[in-house]
Amino acid sequence: MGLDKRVLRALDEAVAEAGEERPLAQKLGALMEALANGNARLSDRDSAARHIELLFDQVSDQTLNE
Amino acid sequence: MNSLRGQMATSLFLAGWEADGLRCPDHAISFERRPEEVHPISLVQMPNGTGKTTTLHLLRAALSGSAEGSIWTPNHVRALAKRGNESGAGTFRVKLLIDGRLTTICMNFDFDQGTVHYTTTLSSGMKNGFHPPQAVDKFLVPQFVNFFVFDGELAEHLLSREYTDAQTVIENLFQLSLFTEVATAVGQYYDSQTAGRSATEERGLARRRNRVDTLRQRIATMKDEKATAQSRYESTKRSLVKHKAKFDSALEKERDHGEKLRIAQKELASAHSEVQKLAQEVLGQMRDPQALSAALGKEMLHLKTSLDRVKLPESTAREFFEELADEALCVCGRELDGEHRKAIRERAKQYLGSEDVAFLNALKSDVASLVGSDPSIHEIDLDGRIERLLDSIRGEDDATTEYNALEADAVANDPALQAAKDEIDRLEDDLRRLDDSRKKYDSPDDSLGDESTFGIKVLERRLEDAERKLAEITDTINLRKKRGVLIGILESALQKARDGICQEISSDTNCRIAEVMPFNAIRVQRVERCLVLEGQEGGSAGETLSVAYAFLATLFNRVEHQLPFVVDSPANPIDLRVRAKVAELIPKLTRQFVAFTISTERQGFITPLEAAASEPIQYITLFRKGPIDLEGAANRQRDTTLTKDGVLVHGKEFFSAFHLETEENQNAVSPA
Repeated sequence: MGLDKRVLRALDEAVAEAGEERPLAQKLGALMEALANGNARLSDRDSAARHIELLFDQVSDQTLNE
Repeated sequence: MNSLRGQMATSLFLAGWEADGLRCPDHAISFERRPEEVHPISLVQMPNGTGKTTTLHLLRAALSGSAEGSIWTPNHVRALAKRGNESGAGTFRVKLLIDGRLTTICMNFDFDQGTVHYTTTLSSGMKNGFHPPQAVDKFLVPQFVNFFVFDGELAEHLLSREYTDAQTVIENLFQLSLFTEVATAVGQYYDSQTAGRSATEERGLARRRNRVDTLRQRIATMKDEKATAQSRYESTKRSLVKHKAKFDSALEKERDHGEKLRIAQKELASAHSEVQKLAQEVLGQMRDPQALSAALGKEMLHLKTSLDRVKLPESTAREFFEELADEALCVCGRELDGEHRKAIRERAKQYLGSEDVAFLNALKSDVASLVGSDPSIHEIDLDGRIERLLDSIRGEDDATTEYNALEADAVANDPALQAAKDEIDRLEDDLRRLDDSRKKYDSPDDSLGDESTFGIKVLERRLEDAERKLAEITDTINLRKKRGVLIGILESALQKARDGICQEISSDTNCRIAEVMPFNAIRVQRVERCLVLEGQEGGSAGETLSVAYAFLATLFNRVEHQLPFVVDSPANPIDLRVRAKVAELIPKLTRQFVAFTISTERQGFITPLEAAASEPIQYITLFRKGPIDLEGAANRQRDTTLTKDGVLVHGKEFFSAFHLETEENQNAVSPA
């Protein structure tokens, strides 16, 4: 049970508008696909932390230029 | 073919249901034409008064778990009991094929208590309660079940601004709630990472950066000052040594005092050396507790004796149990499972490890060799040494006094020596002052503020702490900004996905409406909370149902997963011309279509439906026992099942012939 293509396109667009790189959209899409397919669950705190940590790592550093 | 094994997308099909002891006639319906394969289209004809509404109500409750707990009142539950139900019990059992595996959800009614409880039977066994498999649990909820167990009321809701049904179905079917779920998890991750951190704001960042800068500057200044003080100290010290050498040389030239001074200086040096030596010995011996007090020595011996009595066996070392937990069998021969292993590992902590045992043995050995059998001798020995040290200090004081007196006499006789002595005194004062000055940079005093603290090591420790705190807040702020970026992306993507899907679905729905009703201008303008029609608030019952079919067909065709579509009276409110178009649409709607019909719906619906269907339609007729002629006709059919109060007939012949002149009170079958 995959995600609708429009959902994935929306992620691509939103990531680009935020000035972030495409791999972030891919990671978000992969996580949401896994959640949709039942292959991942956010109710498990440890598992959720591992997934979300990958997303944080993918976002560009926000304090480098300060 | 609706065989489900091997498909990638999740599929949910209705294999059948059974009702017993309820308001509808007892019956069991199966939609399976072969194991794990259901009929694409099944029509269940139930005349009015047969309990069609009850069956639909139970089907929704069984699929959604909506009656679990005490949501239904006792009166609500009792109202579902069959009239004259003597057992006080009833069951409604729904069989589902989920990804090809049978799942049974059973509602068990206790009409005496007015309660209902669920059981769920999966391939792993039966569980109490409503526990659908994870793959479909998002869809087996009340707000979604209404979309695939569908009736005219829901069709009206889809077009009514008072309801959010259209938005709900899109949110559920396209799982748009995942955006919010991920955003929530992002927030929780940030909270867990920053829990316990003291400052998270920009102001805190500036303050901590300033502190780090101030400390770095202060340390650099202190190091410079210390180097200057050290340099001046060394220079003064060299000058002092030089002056002392000159002074000593001049002093020796004094005939009367030279020899005496040399002897006095030698004695002073010897006395000083003796004091140093004895002081070292005393300090060394004072480190032994048994030397400080005989009582301590006695206690140490007592400890050793007690440890001897304990006799720590090597075989009870912790490692033994830790290794045992890895074995398949216990030493007693019993098989070890996960729970046993966990218990053994937990309890192993109560035993000493081999390192602990070795340490205790070394301790005992040291006590024996150092304290010996008589613990009092060490204290006596130390007292003797202290006495000797005191004597030597007194001897050193005497030698100093003697030397100083001789030196004073010599200086008094020579003004040049007096001037040299004064210079030495001045240099010694300077040296002491400079020594104090350079030592303040080594001070361990940590009680004053940064600007009043001179100890370089103290300042360096503070800098280390300040840098750690700066890193922490920098990381926190970075994380907070990243959280903002992620949540912003998710919110923006959700809006884009929702708008895009709604727009595309509106467009596709309008294409289907045009197909079903080519001469009707009704169109969906947009999907918001409900379906918003172009230029009109609503339509006739037929238009509403047609629009709803077109909308749901669009939705169900767009997503990968397969769901059944159960409809009450699919064609009843639709005029004959549109019925044919709706009938043509149905096979495209879903891979399993189950409709509850009444005889008056057949006209203009069955023929185009059969023509559009690619496979044979399953026909079922269910009616209450009573009409003798109707039962007789049913009994002449090949596939008829009689229950306590119902008759279930399979086959198109009976289905097509069955009709009611007045459905509410009279059933009839046309002569064959």
